[in-house]
Amino acid sequence: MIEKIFVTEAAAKYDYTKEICDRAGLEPEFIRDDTAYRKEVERFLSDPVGQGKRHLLLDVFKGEFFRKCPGTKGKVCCNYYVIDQTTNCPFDCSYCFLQSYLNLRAIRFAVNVGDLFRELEAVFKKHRFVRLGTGELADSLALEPLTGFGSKLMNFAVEFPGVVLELKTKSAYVENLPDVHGKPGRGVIGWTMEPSHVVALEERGTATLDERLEASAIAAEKGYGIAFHLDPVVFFPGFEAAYLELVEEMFSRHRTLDWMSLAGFRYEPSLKGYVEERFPGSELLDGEFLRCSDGKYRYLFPERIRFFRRLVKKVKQLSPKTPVYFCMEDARTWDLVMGENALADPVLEPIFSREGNDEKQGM
Amino acid sequence: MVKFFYKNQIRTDDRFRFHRGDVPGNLVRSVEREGILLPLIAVAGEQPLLVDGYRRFDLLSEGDSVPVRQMRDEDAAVRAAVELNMLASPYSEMEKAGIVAVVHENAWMPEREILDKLLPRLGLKGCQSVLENCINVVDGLSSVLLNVLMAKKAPLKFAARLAGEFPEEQAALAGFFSGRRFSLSQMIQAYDLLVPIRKRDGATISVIIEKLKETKGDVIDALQRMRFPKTTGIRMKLGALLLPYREKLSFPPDFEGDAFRFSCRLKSPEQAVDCARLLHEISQDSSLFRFLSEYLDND
Repeated sequence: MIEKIFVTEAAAKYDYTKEICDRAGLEPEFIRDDTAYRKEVERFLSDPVGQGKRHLLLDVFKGEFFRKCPGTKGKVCCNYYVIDQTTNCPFDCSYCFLQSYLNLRAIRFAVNVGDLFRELEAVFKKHRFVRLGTGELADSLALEPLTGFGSKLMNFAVEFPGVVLELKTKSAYVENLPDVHGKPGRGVIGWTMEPSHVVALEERGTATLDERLEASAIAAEKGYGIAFHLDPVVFFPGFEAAYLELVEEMFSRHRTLDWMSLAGFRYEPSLKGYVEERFPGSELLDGEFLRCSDGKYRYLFPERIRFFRRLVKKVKQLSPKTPVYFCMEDARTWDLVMGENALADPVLEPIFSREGNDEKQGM
Repeated sequence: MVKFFYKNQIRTDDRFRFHRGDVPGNLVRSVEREGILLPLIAVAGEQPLLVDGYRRFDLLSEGDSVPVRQMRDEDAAVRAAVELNMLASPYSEMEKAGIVAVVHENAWMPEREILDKLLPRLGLKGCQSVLENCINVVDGLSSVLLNVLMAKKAPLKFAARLAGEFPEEQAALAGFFSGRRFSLSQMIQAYDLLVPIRKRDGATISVIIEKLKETKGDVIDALQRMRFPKTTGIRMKLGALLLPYREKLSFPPDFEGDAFRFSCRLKSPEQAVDCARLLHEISQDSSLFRFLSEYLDND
C-alpha cells in the first residue's frame, strides 16, 4: 500500500519515525519539509491524488491537533470532536472529499504524538464528556500495521472517564488493538458500511463488507463499542434492497450499536472533476442531484426522505436502542424522517451530549 | 538581429501555428494600414523559418517586405516567441498547450525545464499532470474539434476531457457545438449533461444529439430534462400546483426541506387576514396534499 516514505528534517529525530520505517521495511527519503515534497516529488506525479496515497510523509505538526468537527452550514451538528494527526488516506474512494480538499497529496503523519497526548490530556481533564475521533481527514486504522497509532491513542484515551474515542475505518485492522474491557473511558470502532456493490465499485483498496463485519465482531470481543456509518448512502439501481439487506446483516452481528449515522451522498462541485477523471466506472454521479443551501449537491429531497424513512424504520425494528443520527442533514429532514422532536429522544443522549467548556449551540 | 525579407523568401511550418480561429479585426486593420511593425520571429537562414507571427504573415501580400528577428535555432526562436507573446497578448490555454506540446515533441527543452520554466512562464502550473494534459490535447483532439475549442478559448482541463473521446464522438461534438453556435459555458454545460445521459442510456453522443433535433426550445433545457427526468417531473408538478399562489407567496429555489415551506411579506396589518385566508386555502388544497403524500409518504 505504502511504496515510499519521506521523512522531514523535523521528524527525523523522533524514535517513532524509525519505528515506522522499520515496520514498513522501506528506506526513507529525507527531505527538508512538506514544501520540498510538493516541489520535488508531488509535481512530477501524473496522478498526484492516486500516487500520493502511496507516499507516507512523516512530519511534525506544530499546531493544535484537537478541534470541533466543523459540520456544514445550516445542518444539524452532532457535537463531534476530531483529532487531525494524520491527513489523507491510502484508500481511494471515489466519493472522498479529500480529493478536492487537501493541498498535499502524500499521507501526512505527525510523529510528535507526545505533543498530541499532552494536548488531549488537558482537554480530557476539562471535559466531563467528549466524543471524538481521528476519522475526519484520514482513515483511523488504515495505516495501523505500519504505525500502530490507533492502539497508542486508544490505550491513552480510555484511561479518562467520560472520553468516548471512535476510530473510524474501512479496514479490518483490529487484531492488534488493545483489549478495553473495564476501562474508565469508552473505545468505539466505527466502520463505513456500504453494500458490496458500492465497496467494489467506489472504494479501492478497502476491506470487503464481510471483512469489515468480521472485524467488527473481533472488536466487540475486545470490549469496543461498535458504530456503523451508512455514509454515504449511494443511490444505484437496486440500492434500497441492498441497504436494507446490509442493515439486516449488521444487526445479525450486533444486537445494539453505540451509534449509527446516515447520510446521503453529497458533494462539493469541485469533487465532480476528480470522480469523472479518476473513476471512469463509478456510478456515483449517475443519480439526480440538486444544489442545496450549503452549496453541496444532494439527491432529491423527497427521494432521500422516502428512503431514510424505510431505513430508519428497519433499524428501529431490529435494534430500538441503537441511536441513529444524520450527518449533515437539516432539521427538516430530521423531523420528516424521525418525527417531530426526534432530537430530544433520550436514545440520542450519547450523541448530542454537550458538556465541559463548549458553548451551548442551538440545533 | 533584425533583417528585412520579402514574404516569399520566408518558409512556414504548421507546427508553429499556435493561434487558431478568427484573426482580430484590429490586427487586420493595423497590418493593412501600417504593415508589420513588430518583427516576426524566425530561425535564421537565407530563407528564414517563421516561428512567430503567422497571423500577421498571412495578411501580407506576396511582394511585401517585413522585418524578421532571426534566432539561431528553433529552440531559441520558440523561447523568444513565448516571451514576446506573454508580454504582448497572452496565449489562450489551448495555444499554450500547443506550444508546450511542440516544445516537448521536438525536445527543445528537457522535460524538467518545461516543468520548471516554460509552464510557469505561460502561467500554467509546473507539474507533470499539466504537461500530460497539454500533450493529450494536441495529440488526442481532432483538428475540427481543436479549432472549435481554440476559437472559444476553451480551458485546458475541458479540452483534455474531450481529448479522451473517440474520434466519432469528437466529430459529433464538434458539429453540435459549432452548429448550435454555443458559447464556451454552453459547451461545458452541454458536455456535462451529455456524458451521464450517454452512460445511462448506453447511447452514443451522436444518437443523443440526433434526438435533440426533435425537441423544440432551448437545447440546454432539453438536455437538462433528459438528464434529470425526476427533478423535471417534480418541478413541473409542483410548479403547476403552486401557480395560483406564485404572486402572493415566496418559495425557496431548491427542493431541500424548506422548499415545501413558503413565506409572505406583510406590508400592512390588513394583509395578514388575506394571507391567513390564503394559507387556509393551501392547507385545504387536496391536490397539494396528494402531491406531498406521493413524494414524501407524508401522513
